[in-house]
Amino acid sequence: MTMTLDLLGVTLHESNLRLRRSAESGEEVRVSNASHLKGLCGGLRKGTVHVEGDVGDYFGILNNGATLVVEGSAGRFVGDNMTAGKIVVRGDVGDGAADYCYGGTVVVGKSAGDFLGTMNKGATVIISGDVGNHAGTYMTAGDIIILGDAGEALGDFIIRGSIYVLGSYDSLGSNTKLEKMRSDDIDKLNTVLGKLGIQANPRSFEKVAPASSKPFYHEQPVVARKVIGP
Amino acid sequence: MTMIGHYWVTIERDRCRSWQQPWKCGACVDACEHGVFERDSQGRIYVANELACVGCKICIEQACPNSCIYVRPTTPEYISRGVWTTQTVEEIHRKAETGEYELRGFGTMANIPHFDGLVVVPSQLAGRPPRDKYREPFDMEVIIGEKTSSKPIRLAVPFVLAAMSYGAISKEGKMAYAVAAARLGTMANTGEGGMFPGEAMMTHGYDNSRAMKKGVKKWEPGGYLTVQWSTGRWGVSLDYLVASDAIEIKIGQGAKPGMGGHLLGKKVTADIARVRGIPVGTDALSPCRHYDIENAEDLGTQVEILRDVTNHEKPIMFKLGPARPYEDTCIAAEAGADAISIDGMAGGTGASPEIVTQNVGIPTIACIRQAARALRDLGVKDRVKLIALGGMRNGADAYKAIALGADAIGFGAAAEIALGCRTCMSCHKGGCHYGLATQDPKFRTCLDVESSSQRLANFVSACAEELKILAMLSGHDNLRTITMDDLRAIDLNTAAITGAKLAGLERTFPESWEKFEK
Repeated sequence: MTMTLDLLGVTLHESNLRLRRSAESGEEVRVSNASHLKGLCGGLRKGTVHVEGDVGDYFGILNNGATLVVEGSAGRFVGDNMTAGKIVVRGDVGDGAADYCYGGTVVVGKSAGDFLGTMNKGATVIISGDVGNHAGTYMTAGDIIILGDAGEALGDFIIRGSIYVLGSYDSLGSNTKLEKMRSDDIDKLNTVLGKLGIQANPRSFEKVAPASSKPFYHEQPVVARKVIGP
Repeated sequence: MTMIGHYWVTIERDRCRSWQQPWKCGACVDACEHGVFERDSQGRIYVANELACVGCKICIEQACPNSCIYVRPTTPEYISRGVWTTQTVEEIHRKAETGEYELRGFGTMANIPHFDGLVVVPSQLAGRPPRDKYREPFDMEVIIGEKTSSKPIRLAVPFVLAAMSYGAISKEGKMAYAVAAARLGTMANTGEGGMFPGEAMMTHGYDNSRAMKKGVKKWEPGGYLTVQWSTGRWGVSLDYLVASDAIEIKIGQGAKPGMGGHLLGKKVTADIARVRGIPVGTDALSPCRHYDIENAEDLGTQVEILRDVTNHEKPIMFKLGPARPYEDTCIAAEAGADAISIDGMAGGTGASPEIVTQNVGIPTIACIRQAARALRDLGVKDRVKLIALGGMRNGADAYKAIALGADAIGFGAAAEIALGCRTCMSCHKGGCHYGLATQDPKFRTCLDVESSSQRLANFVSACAEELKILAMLSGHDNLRTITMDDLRAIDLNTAAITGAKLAGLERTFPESWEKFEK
C-alpha cells in the first residue's frame, strides 16, 4: 500500500513523525514538496520513502535501516551518520554526501560535490557521475565507487577501506597508494554494480588504498644521536 | 649575574670507584675543565672547588661510569637561570634528537590566573544576613532543558562529570563514572568515543538489564548520561542518541581548543577499535571541526535534527573550548542550546601536543564571566544553563564559578584524581597503573568499580557541602542569587580579567568593567 504526503509548509518534526509512523506500519510513502526541509527522513529504522523532486540538506541523516529514494537532487550531507539502510538519489548531491557513515549504501545517479564520504567507517557509496575534491577524506572503512572522474586529494589520509575510480582524478591525497585490482575487488564490484544494474567493467577501475594505517605518530622517531663530548 | 655558587656538587662515595680502589678511575677529574674535582693524598676523588662548577654536567653525562655525581642548583632555577632552566634546555635537546614535538596527557601546567585570586565575601551586618548551614535548607538543584525537552535533566547537585571518552579511559574507569553519577543523581558524559554496552543503564542506577525491567535501582537516585556528538562521531548511531539523556555537541575543549580528540594507537585495543570502527593500533585523531557543519546556520539545523530524531525528549548541550567566550556563547545559544559547557584553559585531556596545552586558550576565570554576559545580553540566562569546566578542584572553585555566572560546574581532572590518578601526565601512553587511562588488562583490574565510584561520589558530595557552606555564610539559600558582588579579587590581574571588585578598593579595576553590569 502506498501513502502520499504533501509536505508543503509542514515542519521538520511533523514531517518526520508522520514518516516514522508510516514506516512502523510498513506502508510505502511517496513524499512531495520536501525541498525546504533539512533533515527529512532523519533517524528512520525501517520502511521505504520515495521523494518526488528535490530534497534539502541532511537528507536521511542517521538512517538506521530505511530505504530512501529521491527522484530529483539532494542538498549537502545526504545520509550523514547513516548506520544501515539504503539511500538512492537519482540526481546530483551536494558537498559532504555520506559523511561519517558506519554502514548502509548510498547511490547517487549523477555527480557529487566535495568531501564525499568523509570519515566513512563502513558504508558503500556509489557515484555514477563525477565527484569533487577531497573524496574519502580520513576514511576508516567501507568502499567508495566512482564511475566518473574525481577532483583533487582523492582519499586524503585514508587509513582503511578502498576507493575505486573508473575515470581520471586530478590528484591523490596524502597517505594513499594505488593498488592492483585483486580478484576479491573485482567480485565485490561485480556484485555491487550488478545489483544496481550499472554496466561497467570492474577491471578498468583504479583502486586507491591507504599507504599506512598509522600516518601521524610513530613509535620510535629517533633520527639524531646524543651530543658527544671530547 | 655572577656564575659563582650556582651549584651543589656531590659525589656519592659509596659508589665512587676511587673510594673503593684508590687512584683508579678519575674520569671526572680529567673531564672537568673548571677543576671542580681533585684527588686527595690517598688517591680518592673529592669536590675540591664547588664554586667553580658552571653546571655543564659533562661529569654526569660523559665521565662518571657509575653515575654517582650529582649537580643541583643552589637556588630555584627560575631565580638564577631565568628562562633557561634545565627543563627548557633538556626539551631543546630532546627535540634536537628526535625531531618531534612533545605529546602528553593531563592538562596545562602553565602558571595561569585561576580561582585562587578570588575570595568569597561573607555576610555580616550589611547586605543579606548569613544563613545557618546546619539547620536551614539550601536548594542546589539545576534543571537543564525544562522548557524545550519532554525529559529535562534535574541535577541533584550542581556538579557534572566532564566528558572523557571510552578509549582514553578504561571500561572500568567509565563504569566508575557511570555509577558515581547514579549515586549522586548527576550527569556523566560519554566523551566522543561512543558508548560501552550497558553504560546508559549503569548511569541510570541499574546493574543489569533485568533489574532495569523490574525498576530495581542498585545505586540511588540514578543519574543521567550525556552523549557527545563530536567531530569524529566515533560510535555514533541512532541507538546511541536514543539511549542517552542529553546530547552534547562538542566544538572544542580547554586543553586543546581548535584541535580534535587524540587517542594514540597504544590504547586502540580490539574493543576500542570495534566501538570506533578503526583498525587496531591506529591513532584515532578526530578532525578539528565538524565536516558536516559549515556555518552557524548548519549548527542550528543540526540542533533541530537532533531534537527531531530524539523526539524532543532530550536537552541539547554545547561544549566550547576557551577562545572568544562571548561570541562563541552567543552563536551556541542562538543555535538552540539548552546548556553550554565552557571549558577553560586549565581543562584536561588524555593526549595533546604539549605546546598547545601550555599556550593555547583563555584561563577559566576569564571565560565564565564573558559567557554569562553573552547569555544575559541575549536574554536567555534563565533558560540556557552555563556549565563551567577547567581546573575545578573544590567547593570554593565551584562557588566562585557560580558567582562569575555559571549555573553548574564540571569535574574532569579532579574526578580522575578522586578515582586514584596521581597526575603523572602520561595518560597518552596507556600504561596507567591506577587502571584509568589505560586499556591494558593488567592495569584495568587495579580499578574496582564499586569502591572507586564511591570515592568519586564522596568527593563530589564533600564539594557540594563546601559549596553549601560558602553560599550560606554569604547569605544565600539557593545558587541563583550568588552574584559577582559575593566575590573580591585580591590581585590586580584577577580583578582585571574577571571584573570582580578589587578587595580594599571595593570597585572594579579597571572601571570600564562597570559598563558590563548595566
